[in-house]
Amino acid sequence: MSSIMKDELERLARVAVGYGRDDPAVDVFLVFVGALDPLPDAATLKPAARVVGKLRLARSLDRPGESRLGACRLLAAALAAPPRGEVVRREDEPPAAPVVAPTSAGAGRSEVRATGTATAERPVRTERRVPELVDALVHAIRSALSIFA
Amino acid sequence: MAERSEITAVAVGAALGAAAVVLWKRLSAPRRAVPMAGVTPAKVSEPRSAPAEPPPQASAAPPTPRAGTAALPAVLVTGAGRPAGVCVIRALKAAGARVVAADSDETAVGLQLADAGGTIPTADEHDFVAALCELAAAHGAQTIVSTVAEDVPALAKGSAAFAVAGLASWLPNPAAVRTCLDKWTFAQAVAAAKIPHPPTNLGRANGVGGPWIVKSRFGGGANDVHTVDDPAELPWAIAHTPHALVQTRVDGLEFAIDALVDRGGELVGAVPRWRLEKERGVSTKGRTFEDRELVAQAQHLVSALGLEGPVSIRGFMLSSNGLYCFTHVNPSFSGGLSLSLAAGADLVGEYVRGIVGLPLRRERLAYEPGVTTERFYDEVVITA
Repeated sequence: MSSIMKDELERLARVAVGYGRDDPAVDVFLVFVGALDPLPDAATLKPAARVVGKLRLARSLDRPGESRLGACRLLAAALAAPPRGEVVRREDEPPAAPVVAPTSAGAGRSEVRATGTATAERPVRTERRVPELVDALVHAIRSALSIFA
Repeated sequence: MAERSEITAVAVGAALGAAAVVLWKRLSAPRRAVPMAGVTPAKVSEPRSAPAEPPPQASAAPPTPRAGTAALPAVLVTGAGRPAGVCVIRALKAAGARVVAADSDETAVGLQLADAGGTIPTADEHDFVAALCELAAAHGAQTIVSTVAEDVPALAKGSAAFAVAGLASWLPNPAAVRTCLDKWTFAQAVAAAKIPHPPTNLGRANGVGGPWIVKSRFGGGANDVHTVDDPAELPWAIAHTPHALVQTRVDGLEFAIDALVDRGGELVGAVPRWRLEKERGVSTKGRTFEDRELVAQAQHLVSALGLEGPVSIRGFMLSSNGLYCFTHVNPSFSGGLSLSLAAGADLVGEYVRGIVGLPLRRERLAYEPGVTTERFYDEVVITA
């Protein structure tokens, strides 16, 4: 799954949580995640799951409705063991860049990179295009509105 | 001066059950216990509104017994070194029962937590039953609780000896136990009963889609388990797993159900909980939840297997569609039992009542959904 998808999901999660963890906006986001098809892999969902928080996700599982599937997906991703590729670098991966210094400009936690980590940028193939994502979002909002009506 | 030696029994797996913290509870809504008033599916269709979250409250106390548990008989608990054994010992002690612990390992931590204890042979040794009877007689135990499913067939053979020794027991059908302990037989049994179960094959992946999990047909816990994503790695995993069972690896959220089944095969108590974290196959963080449809499916499962007594059921809520899938049934108390006890279900006390022939009380097997429990290590220090 693409890193764009991962970043966008994390960003949307931050927007939703920004209203407060108990705000229905979080449930709207969960409905959106539940509507994603095909299902993103755990690595793609994990950052968003971390933003929402395991206990908030677990609480969402108590509530029937479409947000439950999204909570299930995110919580399963949060609990999933990291794939071996994240632990042991595969030989076909590009070599890691030299150690970089923190690049934080104080704008937020997501922009802070710990010393000793590196990011190698390379072209990625997106599995889903923007129109599909918009469709999924519209479907999620409709579902959420029907729930909270 | 007498020689003084100090042994620190650091309970690794076992002491996970030695201490539990009910760290956080949802108190925003009035607490309600989930009764077991039957297993008819009754799904709620409308979501509840999200209430404001109060500050979390934590309690480090072990589950306190409710009124009515004081009259328990003295209990002999086997498997005192395992998490389930420790959970049962602590629950019985908290209920005021006299507890005699038994284990084949003299350093089993449960031996230190009980009122009395002793080492016994392993279940495959000929004097296993005789040793249990002697231990019970020596310390006045009147009932026996096995927390090791693998011991049940040997215990079942000793039922007559237990009766002669005045030791009451309630054991599941050995054939049902064997079905649960043999993952291949289990897979076939649940398939025949049309119960959702991951595609499974023995020794090869024919027809079983990936990604896979390869595990021993007879293994328990986290032993001999390999996760495989690349088909090229499958032969290696199969070759390095005794009695290899190949199963599609389920993508979803894992749950467990601690349950008690009466002698008629009816599920009289069932506590579903999410397994939020586990170590070596034992749940270390969990949260209880309510789902009558899931409990109805669990009833179908235990009926298909012919089980009775304490049962631990495992499965997943699938990420793909939100449906449930069952992976494993342990015909015994689980290592994560303390999580369900903390939610209020007196599974141990009612089981002991059932052993001595008293009816099981559904109201005492009710539990609170939404209870999150986190466990931590604890130690017993022995100075001699």
